[in-house]
Amino acid sequence: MKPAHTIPIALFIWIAVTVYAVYRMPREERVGFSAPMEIWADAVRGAGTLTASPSVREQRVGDRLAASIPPAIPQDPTLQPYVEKVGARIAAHAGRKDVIYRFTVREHPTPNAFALPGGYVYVNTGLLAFVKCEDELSMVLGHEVSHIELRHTAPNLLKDALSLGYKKFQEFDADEAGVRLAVAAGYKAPAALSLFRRLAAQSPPPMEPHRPRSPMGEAAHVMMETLGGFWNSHPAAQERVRRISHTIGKS
Amino acid sequence: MSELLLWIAVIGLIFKLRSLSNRLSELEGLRFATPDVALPPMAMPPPLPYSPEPQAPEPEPVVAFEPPPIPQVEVEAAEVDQEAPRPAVDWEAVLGGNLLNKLGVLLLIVGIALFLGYSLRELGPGGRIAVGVLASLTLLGGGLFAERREDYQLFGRGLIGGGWAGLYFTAFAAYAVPAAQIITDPIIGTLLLASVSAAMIGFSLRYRSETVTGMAYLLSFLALAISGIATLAIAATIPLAASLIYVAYRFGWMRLIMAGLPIAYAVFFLHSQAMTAAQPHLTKVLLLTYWIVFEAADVLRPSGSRLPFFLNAICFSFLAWGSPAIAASAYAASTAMRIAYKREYRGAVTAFAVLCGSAVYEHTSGLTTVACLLLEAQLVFLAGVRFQERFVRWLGAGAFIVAIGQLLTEGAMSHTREWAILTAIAALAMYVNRWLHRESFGYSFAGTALTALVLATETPLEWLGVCWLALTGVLSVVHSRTEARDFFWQTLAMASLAVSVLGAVNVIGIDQPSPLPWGPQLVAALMLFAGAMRSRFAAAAATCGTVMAAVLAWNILPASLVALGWAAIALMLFETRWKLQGEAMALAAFGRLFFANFDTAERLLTSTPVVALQYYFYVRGRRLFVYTGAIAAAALMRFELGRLHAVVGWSLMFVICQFFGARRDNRDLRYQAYLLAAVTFVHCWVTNFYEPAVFARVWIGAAVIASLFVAHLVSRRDQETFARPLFSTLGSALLSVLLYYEVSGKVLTMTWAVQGAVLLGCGFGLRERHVRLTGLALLAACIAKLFFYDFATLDTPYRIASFLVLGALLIGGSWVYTRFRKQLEGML
Repeated sequence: MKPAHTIPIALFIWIAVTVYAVYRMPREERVGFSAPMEIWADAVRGAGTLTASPSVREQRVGDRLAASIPPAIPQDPTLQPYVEKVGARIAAHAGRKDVIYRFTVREHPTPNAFALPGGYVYVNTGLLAFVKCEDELSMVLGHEVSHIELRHTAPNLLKDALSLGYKKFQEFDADEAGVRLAVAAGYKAPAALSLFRRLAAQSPPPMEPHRPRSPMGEAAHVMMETLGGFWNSHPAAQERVRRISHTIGKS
Repeated sequence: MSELLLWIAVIGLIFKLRSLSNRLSELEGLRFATPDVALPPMAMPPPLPYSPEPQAPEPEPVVAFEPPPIPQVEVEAAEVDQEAPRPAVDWEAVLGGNLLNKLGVLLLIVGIALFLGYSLRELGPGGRIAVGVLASLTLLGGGLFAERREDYQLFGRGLIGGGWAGLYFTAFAAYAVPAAQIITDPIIGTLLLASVSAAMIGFSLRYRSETVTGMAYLLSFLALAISGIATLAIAATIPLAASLIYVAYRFGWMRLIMAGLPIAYAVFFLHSQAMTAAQPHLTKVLLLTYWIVFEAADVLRPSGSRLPFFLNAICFSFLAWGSPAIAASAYAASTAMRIAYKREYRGAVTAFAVLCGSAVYEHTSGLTTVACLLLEAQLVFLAGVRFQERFVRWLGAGAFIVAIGQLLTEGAMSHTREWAILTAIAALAMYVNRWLHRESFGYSFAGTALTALVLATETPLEWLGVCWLALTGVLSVVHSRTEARDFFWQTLAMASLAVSVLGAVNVIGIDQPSPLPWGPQLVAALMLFAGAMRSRFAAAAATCGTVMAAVLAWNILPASLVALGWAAIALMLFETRWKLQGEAMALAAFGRLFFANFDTAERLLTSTPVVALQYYFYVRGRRLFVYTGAIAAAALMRFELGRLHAVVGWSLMFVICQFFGARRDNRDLRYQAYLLAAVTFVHCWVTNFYEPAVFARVWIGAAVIASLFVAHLVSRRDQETFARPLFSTLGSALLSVLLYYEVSGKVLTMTWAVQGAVLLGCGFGLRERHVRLTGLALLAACIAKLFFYDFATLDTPYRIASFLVLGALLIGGSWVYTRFRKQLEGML
């Protein structure tokens, strides 16, 4: 064997062995723009971080927005103190010391929670009915607190412009950071999985994966899927479950 | 019918009268316009081709219709009469004495015919014949008498013509018209008719005038046309037509043929309707006799106009419409005769071919028709090749076009196995013809087209491109062996078609199930590469093969292994002879990583070989791949290590790049290091420094800072001048930022001041001016911060401490500068 042939032959054998090995092992089959978008999301995060508005302005905007939300006092008077207690436990592990977190329960049947700049976190009674344990509630509150921690709610025109259509990465980040916060506060991480699995069960089932007939068909499929996801503010629950599992697995 | 013919004749005479009047007017105008100009000498007419006595004396200028002393002279005088300016005559006398006379004779003959047929019921057949003979002889005698006088020549000749015609019809009626039948034996009747006919025409020949003889014939035909006995009318037309042909060829009167031939067929047509029903075979025999008469005349004459042949062919073919086989046989015989007599035979053989085709259509249907047409075309072509006749070969080509057109029509209606076999045979015949006659390039094109068609109909769609590729290969081999240009173009066309089909069906997957069958893709890829090794279009074939191989790999491998499959293809291509295709595949594998590998769990396994391949290509001299390799490696680190730890890998990477870039003087690696250092700097700042976990924030940040300074140290001064300042500045800045986040508040100024002092010291130690300047800049920033910010915000103890520490550090720095002034000057 000539020395010049050694490297290509070795490389070829390496490729062949890898193909054989990976072919035989259980593997993920995912084709899409998620990796390029992940890289783009890094850039958007960086831009958002560098151009984040001062805390004072963020607080001012949050106060104004919170004042505009109509009050909806829950019928059950015990809910508010309970949520405040869990929220305080979570907030104690938050990184930002310039924010005072306030948790409010609203009487609303929709299972939803949201955060405003300046530390305002709102939880609907519908969500409190949806969660099955305090651990799950801690995951929700951790998620919303993480939005504020990561300055997703802070006014930032540059970041908003860059991340137009891809705010789902903010959700992934908030999921991951929220789980960490809740775990740091002493809650059980698997609660996040059970919570999001139930959410996924409520959302429409994902389309059956089918392999296109050609690389061009695959490219077209990926393109359509990406454009479809462009308009969604929240990612699919199944994808969130996958990422949370990954986060829990790593930690 | 008879009334109609009379009206047609009258209308014809009126037109003739008008044209004659115009002619006379022209002559009069010519005469009065040039009264003093002498007429030019009369042009000598050319010798007639059929003149039986070529040694005849020179013609003399004579007045038209003058009784000719010498026949040939009169013939030529008649020709001269047509071309030379006529002498001035009283046109009114001509009109009244000639045309009215002829019109009158015509009407008289019609009257005689009607008289004999319908009006003379009172008389017996003998009486009617006697009246006819008497009237005809009276006209004939009167005409002969009047002809002797110069003033009544025109009038007399009209009467003569009418007399002859009447005599002819009377002779005809004596046998054929029941009302006047006195002869029952058909042979005697025919002989009588022939005798009168011969006499009439013979008499007319004394004038050597085409007009006069033509008039006699016209009247004879007219008499037969209005006859009520179909069989004998048709039969009687035959000798009349034969005599007409003889006379016309004898004296070169082509107008006589041109008028007489259709009229003879018209007589047949008029009577054939009634006759066919009763005696169909006799009708065919008689029609064939007509044709033989005219065709034989055309064959036997040495040369001349082709118009009689065409008239005969058209009339005969029209009348023989129901029996094209017989007509074809007739023209086959004619062709043989013409070849035997060395006569022009192209028209005959064309008629034979056309009629054969008609006969095929008449007697067969479906694929049998196609087979017969192909056989006919093949025979005609072979005859053309055998006799080395271009026209016949072209005729065969035309027949092939018709046959193939019919073949395609049948194929459009239904594809059967028989159709495919017949098409394949046709294709084979095309190639054989091309081999038999090498100048007939079209046959090989047709053969290839038919072969492609057969393959298209008989092959499953997913294998069609492969089959066409195989055909392309065969054509290519033939071309390489024979150097025939037509096979070259066919190879090109078939290759284009095959590639198009492969693209549409086996790559895009039009009308195909999912997943695409991999067998055709594999075979096609192998064939394309095999073709690339021999073809003149090696690059195109190899490119198509590469695409097919890429699609095959995509088809058979799981999504996360496709990039590896493409990398393997790239390596094989690159190591053989197709460098460009290999590079393209390597780039494709690189791109694929971003869409199918980096976001999977097994990314490290599946991406690393692809990254290695990029660098291997770079080692083999492809500069682009050092960048794709670096990008892929950096992206792999980003996903494998995660958002927070990626900077560790990137730091290691830019240190290595800078180290090897500096040692091996490789600018590409160094620039990658600069770019990656900048990215790492930003990413570490905006990601790690905001991370709550201390490890990700401080320790990883410290590692990055250390890497930047290491990169600074491994950079060479004789390369990019900005390299060392860049790394050290990035490191210093990142350290400052880290300190800002970690010790933000009361001791920040002191911390930064210490950092500035350390930088200053390092700058002295390393003899790096920009490090020293960085330290000085940081100290200056501390001074500014102290006065403009700390002075107002810090608590008193920290403010004092800040002043003290910063002041001490500044003094220390100043001492160092003073103490080592000379060394410093040496450094600057």
